Amino acid sequence: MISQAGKTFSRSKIFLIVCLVFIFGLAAASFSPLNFFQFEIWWFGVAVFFLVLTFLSRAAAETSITDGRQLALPLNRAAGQADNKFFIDSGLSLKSAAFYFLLASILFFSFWRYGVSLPEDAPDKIWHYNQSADGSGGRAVIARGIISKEPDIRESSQKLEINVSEICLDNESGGECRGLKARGKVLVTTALYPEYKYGDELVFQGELKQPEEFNGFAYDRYLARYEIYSVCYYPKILPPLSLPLSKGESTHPDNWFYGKIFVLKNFLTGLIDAGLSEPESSLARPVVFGGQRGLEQKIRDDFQKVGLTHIMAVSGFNISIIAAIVMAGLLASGLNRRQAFYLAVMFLAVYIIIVGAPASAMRAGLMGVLVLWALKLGRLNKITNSLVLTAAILLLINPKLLRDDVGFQLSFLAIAGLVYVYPILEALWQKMRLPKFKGVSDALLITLAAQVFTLPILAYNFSQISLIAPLANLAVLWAVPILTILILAALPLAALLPNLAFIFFLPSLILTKYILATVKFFAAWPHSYLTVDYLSPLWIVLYYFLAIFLVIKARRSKLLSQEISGKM
Amino acid sequence: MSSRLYKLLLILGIVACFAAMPLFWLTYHQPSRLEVDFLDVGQGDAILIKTPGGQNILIDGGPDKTVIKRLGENLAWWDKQIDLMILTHPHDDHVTGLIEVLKRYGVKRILYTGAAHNAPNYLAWLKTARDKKVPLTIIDKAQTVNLGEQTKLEILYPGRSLLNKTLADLNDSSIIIKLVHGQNKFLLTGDAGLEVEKTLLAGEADLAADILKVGHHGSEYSTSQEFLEKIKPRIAVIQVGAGNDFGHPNLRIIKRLERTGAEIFRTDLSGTVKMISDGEKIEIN
Repeated sequence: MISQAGKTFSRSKIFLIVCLVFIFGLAAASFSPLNFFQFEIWWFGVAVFFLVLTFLSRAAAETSITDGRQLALPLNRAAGQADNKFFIDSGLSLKSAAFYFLLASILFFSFWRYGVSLPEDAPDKIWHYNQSADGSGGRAVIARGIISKEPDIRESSQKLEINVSEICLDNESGGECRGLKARGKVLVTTALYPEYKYGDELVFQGELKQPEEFNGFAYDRYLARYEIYSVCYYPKILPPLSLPLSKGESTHPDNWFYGKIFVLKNFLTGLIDAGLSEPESSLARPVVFGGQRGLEQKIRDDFQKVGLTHIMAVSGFNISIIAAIVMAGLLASGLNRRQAFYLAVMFLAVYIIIVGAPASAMRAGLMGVLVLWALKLGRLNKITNSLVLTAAILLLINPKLLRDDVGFQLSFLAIAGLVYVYPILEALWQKMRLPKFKGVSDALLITLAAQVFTLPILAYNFSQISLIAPLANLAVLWAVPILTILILAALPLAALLPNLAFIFFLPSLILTKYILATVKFFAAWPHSYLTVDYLSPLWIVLYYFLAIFLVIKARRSKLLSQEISGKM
Repeated sequence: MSSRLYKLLLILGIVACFAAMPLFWLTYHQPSRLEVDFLDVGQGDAILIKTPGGQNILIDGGPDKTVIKRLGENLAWWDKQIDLMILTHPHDDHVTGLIEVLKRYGVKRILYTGAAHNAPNYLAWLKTARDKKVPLTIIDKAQTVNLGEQTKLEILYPGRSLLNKTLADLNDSSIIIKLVHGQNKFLLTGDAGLEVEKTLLAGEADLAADILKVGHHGSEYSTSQEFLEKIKPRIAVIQVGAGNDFGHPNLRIIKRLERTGAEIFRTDLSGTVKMISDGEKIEIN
């Protein structure tokens, strides 16, 4: 316990504040100029300095308080009556000093962590070769590497993330090409065919370039999230042995586990393609497996207009809803909370493995587990600490997510809306004595609550605010988890009897057709969306301050708090 | 209604649905109409033929995966079979889409010329066909494929095997097909150029047709005046992508077609062109 100016912080409160300071520090760091991080080791030094101060002042506080207590013992009463209060007081203020030293240490630590995540320019890094000697354009290289992620297959091209191990510079003066060790990722864009797969070894010859911002989209920052600092467009792809291996270098296949997972995933998406036609299969695939771009641009634009693009991603929000439904189903089938929780967690684990276990789905899965855990406890609003801790851990692993990963931001904000805003809306609904329509009102309030915190991020990143979104979400969202579960159920049947696949996929066909028709219908409405050409970050900050202020105010107000605490 | 009765009715309903499906299959007969869809796949060719007997024939696949969407739009939801796939020649704007078709549809047989070409897309198509164990047949002479009582597919060109032959212009290896349904005739010429047209004019084949798929997306190196005069098409279809880099279709060819009296349909302007023939007249929509 740390007492400070009459207030007492419990351990869990201190923990929460430490996590929040860390997240705030990363936010500040990610908007700081790059030359802040030239000697990032200094930040670490200062962090350690403050940490030492924390321990010293805590120790001093302990001795001071013990001294004070000893002085207060009856034997010493005569001698130290006046002194003991002084010792205890100074001990307490030393304790609160320790608390502030700890926060300062965390703040500097977060700056150091962000600095470490920035690319270091050295001759053994692939991004060192992004510019030709005269700086006029890309640098011509021959590079060898291994495909380190599933190929991203588009309508008329594919993108390969290649983990390069060595390169050979095209000598600008002509002559022998010299081999060099240079490591790092390159995003290669190439024709649709031939096809490649995860783990393939490639040698490519082309120009390395630095990714650049275009149309106001920070493509460089977007790729930097996953440590890609070089791109290469339509290189010549050579047979793997055309660059002789340097001694001691082995061509190790990257990761056996992922290789097998992707084979399974390809097999399963192939089943969906065989069981459904276009455009239904291109909706069904991303709803289950996420991250794919099969739908044609016109339909994608419609999804954007009605604010439903999010259903085509394995996001924290979607996984949480699926997890909650599975848990509810298991509870209804007579299991107790404990058993239902563990079974639902196992279901989530299997699902995440099936979708190929990309970092984004693992994050989403973690949040799904959080929501399940909250359901096991029986209350949704007790998860503040776990939510903030999850965010802090994910950011400790990859600090760039905070500023540059829209999916990360949206997932957390949507869940925050669910946890903090939904009870308020529900209480308001009850207070106004509006009818409940057997759960329809809940669905509407859930989609509204999820929108409260995500709205500015959506407007800023996609230049659109969908006005129809609450209605469209209400009309479609219920179908998404059902669709996911129907497809997951149809997959093993279709694998056993491929000729009858179209029958097993009939229920999913009806749902996908329904979703596509609904999206088309709502997108055709006049004024279904607003276009936001430019949104100043100041407005976003202002919006969040206002939203958080209102939420706190509403939760403290007596009228609502009664109903909230009654509900939860 | 008691819940037991409700459950019973629900189960009976589901059983009835499942029983109705095979019955529907056995008794459902497609009317004896031939459907030819000139699919809008951008700058490239893709033609879907649905015969009165229910077979699906796909000639070429366009330059990307768009053909999958068009097939989805033009085939029934349960129909995932292509009975015959024909590749007129191995250029990218004809072969690329077929790779994905091989993956997603059950393809029963492939006809192609076997002319030598080593572009990645063509090689990927061949590899996929072999992986899927689809029988590949080389066209080595003019021949006729019977599709029904009054429906047949005549292959007019090439009259010899082009297997592993290297050609100066691959377009001239194009398979030329005449589709006949009763009185209605369709002439599909791939990307064949003027040389091939001369060869055909010199030959014995009857070229007269109601509908001409204009050669090589309306390029000026196809569709000579003499060729047109021999065909005398009432309708000409140009499969071409909006704003393509080649300047297709050529204005002179369009004028030439108009002078012949043919009504012109273009996939870049009107999307997929769907024709239904009952053996006597042709409906277009």
